[in-house]
Amino acid sequence: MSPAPRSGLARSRRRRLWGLLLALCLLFVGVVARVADLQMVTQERYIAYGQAQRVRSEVLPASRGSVLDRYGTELVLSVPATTVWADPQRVTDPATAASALAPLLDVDEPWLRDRFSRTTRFEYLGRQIDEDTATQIATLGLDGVHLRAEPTRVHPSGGLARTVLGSADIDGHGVSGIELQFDELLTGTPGQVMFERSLNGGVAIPVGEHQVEPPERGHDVLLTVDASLQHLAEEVLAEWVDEVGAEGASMIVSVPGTGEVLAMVNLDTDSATGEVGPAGYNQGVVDTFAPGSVLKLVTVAASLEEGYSSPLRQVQVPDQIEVAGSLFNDHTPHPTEDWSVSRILVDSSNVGTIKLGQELGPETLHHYLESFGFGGPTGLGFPGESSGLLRPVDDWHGSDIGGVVIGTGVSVTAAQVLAAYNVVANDGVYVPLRLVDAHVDGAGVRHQVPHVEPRRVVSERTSGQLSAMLSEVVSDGTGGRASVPGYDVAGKTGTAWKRLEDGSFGEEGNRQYMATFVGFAPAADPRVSVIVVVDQPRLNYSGGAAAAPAFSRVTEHALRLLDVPPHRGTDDDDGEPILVSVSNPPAEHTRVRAPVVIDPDAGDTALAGEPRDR
Amino acid sequence: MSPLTALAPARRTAPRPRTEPRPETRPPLRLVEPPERRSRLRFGVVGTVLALTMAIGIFALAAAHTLVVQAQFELDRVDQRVAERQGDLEALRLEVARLESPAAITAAAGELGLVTPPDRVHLEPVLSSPVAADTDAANASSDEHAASAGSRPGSTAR
Repeated sequence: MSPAPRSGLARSRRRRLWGLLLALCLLFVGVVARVADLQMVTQERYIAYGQAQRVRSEVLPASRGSVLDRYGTELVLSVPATTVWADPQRVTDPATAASALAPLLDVDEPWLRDRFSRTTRFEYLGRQIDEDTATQIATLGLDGVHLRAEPTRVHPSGGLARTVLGSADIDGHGVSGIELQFDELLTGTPGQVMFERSLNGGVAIPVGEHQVEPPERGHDVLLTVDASLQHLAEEVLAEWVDEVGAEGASMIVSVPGTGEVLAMVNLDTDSATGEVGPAGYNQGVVDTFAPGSVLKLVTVAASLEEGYSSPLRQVQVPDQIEVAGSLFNDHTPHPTEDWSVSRILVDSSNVGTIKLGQELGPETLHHYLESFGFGGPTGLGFPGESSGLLRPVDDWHGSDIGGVVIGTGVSVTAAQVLAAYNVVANDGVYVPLRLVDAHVDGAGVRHQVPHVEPRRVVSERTSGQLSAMLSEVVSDGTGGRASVPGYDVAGKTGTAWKRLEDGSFGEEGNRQYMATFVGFAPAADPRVSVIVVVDQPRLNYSGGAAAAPAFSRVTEHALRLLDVPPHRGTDDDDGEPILVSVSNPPAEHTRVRAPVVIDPDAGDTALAGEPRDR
Repeated sequence: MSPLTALAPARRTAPRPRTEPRPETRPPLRLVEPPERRSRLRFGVVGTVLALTMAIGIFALAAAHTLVVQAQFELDRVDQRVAERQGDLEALRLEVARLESPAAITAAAGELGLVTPPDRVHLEPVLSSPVAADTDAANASSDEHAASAGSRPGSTAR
């Protein structure tokens, strides 16, 4: 063998060896680079990818808070329920699954088969079903059909206070009423559970990663409403609406001293069936109406407060008056007479009130209307609450002042009128209405709901004079049917034309009316105030006939529930007070004519407006 | 010459012509002490101990793992029971709320034959009760005070 070929072969081998070495080095560098990439550059992505494959996360739904009445009775609460859903891609036998589930979920089989045939990975089959049904479905063990917890909203008291409580949708979001107003508080914070699972069956690995972030329950909302009184008020008003053949009615019961709303009722008559049932919304706060004569209180109050009048001041009152070309009449003809300011209010004279209003002038009237709370929110903060319509004084023209003082030139809500009359009950202080007292968080800590501070509107003296006049309205005036046996009641009737759909008040003969009565009792120490607004009473449209009796019935119940003792003896058939003597055993009722003195502190230990333990 | 060399059998080789003297390349031989059995034994013992320790450690780890798994299962069972009790609690809350509702109370009262009284009768304190006067002279000395003492024994029918 010659040396030359051997040398070439050696060189070739050497080159190949070097090439192999280089390739191995490059491969090694590539591997190192990839390892560096996996470990240092993109490690987060791969960690996440790995976790996504083996770690499963499930949302733990938070229970929505309850809504309770002033004594802690739950009016709305969330209870556990189960939602059934399907992953259509994993349903192996849609026909069998559909036939098995249809009777349990009370749905049609074709509907289920349609759900199973979809290309999505999530389809609801039934939401918030009861636990028994959920258990039956679970025992079926259907592939691709899953269950998960989803609380549902329940009203254990049925339709009680539904227009106040409102509602939440199926996803637990408030859509109306208190549910909407306090949606943020009521809604809890969902929790989360993370666990490692096997890749094939998705079964949790016992010693794998397991993290639980528990859900936080929403706050409970405590209303000022008394469920018992609410129930009574709903029953009484429903009977009354049926009795007078009205289209509907609203009623609000409050504690004047604190502004707490004890009951809020809104009813409608079904035009098809004639049945009286809950209205669709809180009309007493949302709907506006022309208040009529109940607004005369403001004019008389302003006249007294500004020093133009005293209760006994005599005013010449004809039965009609012309204001800027418009003629205003009293409801019954009478000769021109000197009437006291008190009588003007007691007999609800339009002419007399207009004369008092003209003395005050538009600016002063407007100021007092605003001070009494008209044209602004009541402080309830209720969703959809109306401020009513009180035009700026610059927009008052011609005969507007006449319409305003007798309550036809403004629009108000029932809540505004009640708050205005509470001024008189509160010795001249405006106390904003309150529907919600507090909310309680998951730890049981009570948070008081802030409310608007009271403000003085008229002096105590003026308030006392107005209270006496309003008492006379019930004892000798238009509100006689609002009286409550055993108590002095103060209040005012109101009758006003209802605005028709075309915006007009209609013509004589086809007019529609809103009958109102608002007042409080006992007159000397008001513990409860009530407004009743009856929409289109058919039999008798005056406030004294169509609204006052309902006021009387509900106020009597309210005084009983609030443990308010009568201020004078209860009259029996003989008109004599009944007293009880223990000196004549066995205990017999002894009838004596004597002034009865009752110590309110001894007879009534629970202050109105303060929650009592049951 | 070492002793081993001296003991080796003599080689018989054909005589060769000596060209040059052969260099002495072989290292001198010496006696080597046989390895000590004790050190080998020590190595075996250490190895065995290590192996045993490792085996025991693995078994202990497995045992601990088993205990953890059992505890996890127990925890899951407890969680399940808590969830069931929580569900029971919620159901009972709902039942309480239903029973406390005014409509339910009214219905229950109706079933018991209770009715709303048509008239209200108030039992009111008597001002000139002889029992009250005899009982507490101090209170009887003040009509005003006696009138206001509605809760005083004997002043109100029960």
